[in-house]
Amino acid sequence: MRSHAYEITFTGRANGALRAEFDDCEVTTGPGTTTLHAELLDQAALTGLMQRISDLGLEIVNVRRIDPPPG
Amino acid sequence: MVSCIMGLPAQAAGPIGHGRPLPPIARTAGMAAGTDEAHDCPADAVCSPRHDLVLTKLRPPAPRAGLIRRDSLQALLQVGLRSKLCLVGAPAGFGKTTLLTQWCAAAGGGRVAWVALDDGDNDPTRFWTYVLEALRTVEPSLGTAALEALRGPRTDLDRTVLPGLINELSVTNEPLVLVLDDYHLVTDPSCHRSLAFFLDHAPAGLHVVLSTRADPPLPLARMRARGELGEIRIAELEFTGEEAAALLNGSMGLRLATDDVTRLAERTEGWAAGLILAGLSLRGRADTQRFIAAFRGDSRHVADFLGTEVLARQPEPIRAFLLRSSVLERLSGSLCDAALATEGSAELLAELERSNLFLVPLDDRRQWYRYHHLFAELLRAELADRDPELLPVLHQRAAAWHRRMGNTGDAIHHASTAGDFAEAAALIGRHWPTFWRRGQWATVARWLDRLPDETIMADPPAAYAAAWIRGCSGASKAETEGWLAAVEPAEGDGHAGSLPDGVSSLAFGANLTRATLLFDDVGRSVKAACRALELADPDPSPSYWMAQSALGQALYLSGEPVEAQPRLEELVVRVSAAEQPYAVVLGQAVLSLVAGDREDDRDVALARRAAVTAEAQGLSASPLCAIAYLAVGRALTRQGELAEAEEQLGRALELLEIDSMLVLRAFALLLLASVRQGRGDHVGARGTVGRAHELIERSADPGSLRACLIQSERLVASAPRRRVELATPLTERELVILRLLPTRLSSREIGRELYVSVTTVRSHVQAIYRKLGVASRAEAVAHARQVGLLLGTPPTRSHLTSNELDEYLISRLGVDSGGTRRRGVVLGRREKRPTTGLGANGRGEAVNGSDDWRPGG
Repeated sequence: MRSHAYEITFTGRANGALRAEFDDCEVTTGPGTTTLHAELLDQAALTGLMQRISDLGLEIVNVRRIDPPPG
Repeated sequence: MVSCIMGLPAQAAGPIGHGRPLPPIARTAGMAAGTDEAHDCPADAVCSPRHDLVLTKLRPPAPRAGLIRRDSLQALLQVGLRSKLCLVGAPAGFGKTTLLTQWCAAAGGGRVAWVALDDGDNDPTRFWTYVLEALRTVEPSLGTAALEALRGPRTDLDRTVLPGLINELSVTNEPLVLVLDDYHLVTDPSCHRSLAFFLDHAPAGLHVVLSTRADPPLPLARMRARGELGEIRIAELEFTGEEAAALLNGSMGLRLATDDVTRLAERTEGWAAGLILAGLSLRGRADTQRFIAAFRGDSRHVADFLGTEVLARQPEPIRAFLLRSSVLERLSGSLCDAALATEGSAELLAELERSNLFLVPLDDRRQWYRYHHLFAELLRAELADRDPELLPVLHQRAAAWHRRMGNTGDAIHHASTAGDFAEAAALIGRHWPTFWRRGQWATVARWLDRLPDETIMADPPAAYAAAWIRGCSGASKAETEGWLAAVEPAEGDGHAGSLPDGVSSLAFGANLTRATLLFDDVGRSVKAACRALELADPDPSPSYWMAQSALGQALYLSGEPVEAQPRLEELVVRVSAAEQPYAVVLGQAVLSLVAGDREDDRDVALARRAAVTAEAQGLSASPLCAIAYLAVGRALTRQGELAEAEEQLGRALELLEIDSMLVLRAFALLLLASVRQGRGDHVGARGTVGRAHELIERSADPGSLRACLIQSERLVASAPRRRVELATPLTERELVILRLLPTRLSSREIGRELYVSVTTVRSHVQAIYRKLGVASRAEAVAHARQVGLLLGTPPTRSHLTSNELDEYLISRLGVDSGGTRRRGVVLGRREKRPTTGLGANGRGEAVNGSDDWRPGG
């Protein structure tokens, strides 16, 4: 399986209920934004997660794949 | 109604009988007995005359020529199918449907139910109708009651349809597989929620397979942890070298060297569609080497490159046909002839299928086809690029064909896509009551959403549909009034005839709507109801009685129960529930309230009858019938059955969240406040009265509710203040969990209720203990009750789903500064907002936005 770590950032600072919605991800907040960190199996999992975020009416501003350091 | 708020009642005289719901009965229920269109359904029609079901959706596509066997993948699938849910998930073109089709054929017509989903299935009624019909192709006797229940205009899935179905499935011993193809097209949250519920409770013999392009918003992590999830993902679906060779050299008859096969497989990364496209491009080409080298070197997306290649190599007539017919979801010879203004499409389609150009036959008779989704997307993009002015023409012709065939949904879809909004509006205005009666009001809502407001306004029957459907789904008074203004433009003008739902005239219809949808103005409803009755035909029709019942409700709420009573008594005697269910339910409920005012104990029976009628007519989830549960709650309060009263009122409040029911919502809140007061929950009672106060304050004309409010406020003010402030207050999540602690649910079950992991629950529970200064669950409950954080008695489920908890959470949760404020985000529950949507468009790299995220903060 080719799983990767991903970070998806959207506007707004997550509070209690939002963290509960995404309790299968690590949630961190930045200035005016929230970022979810998740280990995703493949593209289908990524699309699914982004769809969940977008279904809540949240505005995604960045999606990043974290590649493991070489060596 | 002055006596609407009771103090604590005396002890109940005896046990209260509990109504048992009647078995659903066959009927043509609806707002009025309109006429169903007689569907003239020739063989060319897509639908079955009885149900407007597209039968080809209930079977797997017929196996195409040239498919290769993928035995190891089939074996994996076989293993995956042992789980409760098997997810076959990958972007388009990986061979998901093909895999399942082959498995189906190999399983030899075993117990497999198939639904080919499309985005029209984003209506829970339609979705579950198809699922049920699919299950019935395996077990014909299954789900009869559930299908009946679904046919009601507003059925409560979780309470009425699904439990019965689940029970029936538990009885059948043999395993059964349900395949839902293209599940990614389902985006409606109630569909997801009801499917999650179904999966949660499904019996051991049922296996569900979802083929989808993206992971669905179902509790996958939880199911994975429990070993209930089987998965076939991109990694499994990628073609191996051997499989690629079998495809290219074996099935497609090319003679490629092993090296070349390997290079193609690498370049396409095992993507089935890519391999097929490459194969098609190589057919009959002498310079395979040059092509492969170019293919490897080209940095364009595989799909782009190959799609263009394949198209370019087709003779012009075929290319034109492919491009133009791509606008159609489903293709038949006759439809193509009409849409493309050509002849001989049937033969051409057969030829195309033989040459393996991504045409998928939908039935054995080779009458209906569709394109492989990815190919259709490529074709559409190419057509939009090349001949954009053709698009509206093609859609218009398709709409005309579908209209002739009686396929209303398709006709509306194509008309809207063609930009012919007036035509779409006319069709909606003519046909919507049929869909309303079948419970597919969400479908009508979606059709209306595609039309510009001006078009709806210009078509009075469509505006009437909009007023009803949107008014019952949460539109504001201003918006609804806007549409109603378009319904009756000027006195004695335009459309004098009767509307499709049997309403005698537009003016009557508009006033009936105003009478029934109270919003915040009782006086307005009284006037509108009287006006409607003036306009009514001398011979009472079902809608006449609807107006009478609306008048009764409005009169009661304006403090004139005596006036309301005789009309309603006549109504419940003369009108049958089958004919005009809303009027009967409303009438019975208001009569119960009137009786209760008089302290007449018959109010319980009357209210129960109203609730039973609503359920029997499939209206248990309709806001128009929420008053039945309100009446039951009120009657039970008088009898001292406070626990059940609270539950019934909670149920009513769930349905009354919309603007058009504001006055009733305030009324229900006042009743709920007195119940909570009676149960010792003074904090809750005060909060509830506060909410009612807000609503009544901003109402244009709350009728006699203002007097009730004053009474209630006096009542709760006199209660002792018991709340003690904690040093560190509990967070909102902790409060939610705290409310579940008095129940018998284990931490794991609490996690299930709230869609969080058991570890999360446990850590919150520890925090709760710490803040309350206790060491055990029982102590926590006791202490919380003492300081007023918990009610005196265990909460029921209705507490979690009530509007109250939502609003509390929303006020605390927040996506502040720049984010979107959302309604109704409760742990585990979702509501949809229109979004721009993200489509999976084949393979590609992840999106890269600007790098302005910084950790911390």
